[in-house]
Amino acid sequence: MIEFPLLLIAYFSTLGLVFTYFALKDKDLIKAIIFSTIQSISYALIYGTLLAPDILLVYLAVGFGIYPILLLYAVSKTRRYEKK
Amino acid sequence: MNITNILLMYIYLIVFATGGLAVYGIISKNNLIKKIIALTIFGDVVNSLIIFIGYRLVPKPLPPILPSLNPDKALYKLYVTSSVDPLPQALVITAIVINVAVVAFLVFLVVRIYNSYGSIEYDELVRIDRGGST
Amino acid sequence: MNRRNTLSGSIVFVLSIVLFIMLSYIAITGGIGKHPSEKINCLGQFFVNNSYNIFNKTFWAGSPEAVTSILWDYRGFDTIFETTVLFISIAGALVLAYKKINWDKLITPLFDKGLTLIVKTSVKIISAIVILLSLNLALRGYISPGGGFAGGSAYSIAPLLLISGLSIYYIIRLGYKLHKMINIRTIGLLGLSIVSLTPLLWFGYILQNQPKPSTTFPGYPVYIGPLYLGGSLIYLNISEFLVVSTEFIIIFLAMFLLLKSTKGEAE
Repeated sequence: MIEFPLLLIAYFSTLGLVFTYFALKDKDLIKAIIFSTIQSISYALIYGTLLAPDILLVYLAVGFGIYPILLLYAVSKTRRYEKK
Repeated sequence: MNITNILLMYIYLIVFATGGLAVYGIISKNNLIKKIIALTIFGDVVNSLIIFIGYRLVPKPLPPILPSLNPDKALYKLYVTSSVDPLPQALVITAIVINVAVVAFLVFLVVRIYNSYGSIEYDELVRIDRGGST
Repeated sequence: MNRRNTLSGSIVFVLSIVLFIMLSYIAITGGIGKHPSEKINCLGQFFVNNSYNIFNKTFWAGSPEAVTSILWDYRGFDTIFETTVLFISIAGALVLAYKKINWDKLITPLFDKGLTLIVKTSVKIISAIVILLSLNLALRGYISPGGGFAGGSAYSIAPLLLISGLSIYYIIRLGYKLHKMINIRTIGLLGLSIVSLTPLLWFGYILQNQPKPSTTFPGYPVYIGPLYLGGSLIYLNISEFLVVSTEFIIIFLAMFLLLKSTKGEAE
C-alpha cells in the first residue's frame, strides 16, 4: 500500500528525536557520543527507506567510522565530564 | 484529512522538532564538544528533509538506476514513470563530504584551544580572553 | 531555580510546539515548497529520461546510473569545488598540528605487547575484506551504486582498524608515511585535471563526456569491443577515490602521531 514507507519513516524519526534529547542532556561526554551514533543509525535507515543507495553507502562510512573516532579523540585529549 | 496527510504532518513535525533541538544545542550549550555534536545532528536533519522532498508517492517506486544495459521499450517506460528524483541525492552527497571536512578542522581547533587556554567551556574562555584568570 | 525561570521556560515550550504544528501544516499544503507527490520536478525528470537513452542520443551520458552521471557529467563543477573545499580544510588541519618528525627513527619500538592474538588476527582479516569492498565500490561506480566518495571513505576504515588492534607503528612499518600519502593525493588531483581539461584541445568545453552538436570532440569511448567503460566516468571515479582515501588517512596519521596534549589528559 502507499503508506508503508511513510510509517517506517515516522517510526525511525521518532527514535531519532528521543536519542537526540538524551545526547544533548547527558553530562558524560562519552555517553553523549554513543547516543549520537545511535541517532545516526536511525537516520541511515531513513535514507534506505527513501530509496537512495548512493547516499547510504557514503553515510555508513562517514557516520559510523569517522565522526565517533574524531569526537572520541577530542574527548581523550581534553576533559571527560562537563561542568555544571 | 486522509491518513496520508496525517502521516506527512507527523513526519514534518518530528523532523522540525529535532532540528529545533539541535539549533538550541548549538547556541546555548557551554561545552565546545557538545556544540560539535549538535552541528552533526543538524546537518543530518537538513539532508534528510532534502531527500524527502524528492520522493515519489506511487504504490511501487524504484531507485534511480536502470536495471539493464540493453533495455526494451516497456522496461524503459516503466523505469521513467516510477523512479525517484536523482538531483537532490547528488547535491546531498556533496553536502555530506563538506560537513566532514568542517568537523575535522573544528576538532583540531578544539584540541589546540585546550592546549593554549586550559579549558573548553565557553564562559570560562570569555573570562580569560577579557583579561582575567581562570 | 526560582519560579519565574520555570514559568517562562514552560511558556516557551508550549509556544514552540504550536509553532512547529503550524509549520508542518503549511508544509503539507505546499506553502514552503514542493512536497512529495506523484510527479517529480521537471529538471529531475529530464535527467532520468536522458541519462541512458539509447533511442535518442542527443543528451545522453553513457551510464545507467543517474546520480553518478549528474555528479560528474551534468554538474561536474560542483564536484570540483567540493574537492577544493576538502583540500583546503585538510591543509588547515595539518597547519594546526605541525611537528617536525624524523620518520626513519620512528619504527624501532616493538609492537609485540598489546592486545591478544585473537584480536590481532581477526583485525587483519577484516581489514583485508574492507579494502576489497572499497575497491569494488570505487571501480564500478558507473554501473552500481557507489562511486569515488563511497569507495574512498570505506578504504580509510581499514588502516583505522589496524591502528586500534595493533599499534600505529605497524601502519608506518607497512608504508603509510605522510609524504607518500601526499604524493598519491597529488597524482589523483593530476588525473582529475587531465581528464577534465582534455576536451579543450578539440575546442570542446571543460568536463565534456559525450559528443555534442556544437563542438567537434569525439567523446570518451563507451564500448571498446565487449568491454563496457562509461565514457569519462571511470577515470574520474578512480582519481576521486585516490584523493579522498589518502586525505582521510592523512587526518588519522596527524591525530595519532603529531598532535599531543600538553596540559594533562582525561582518564
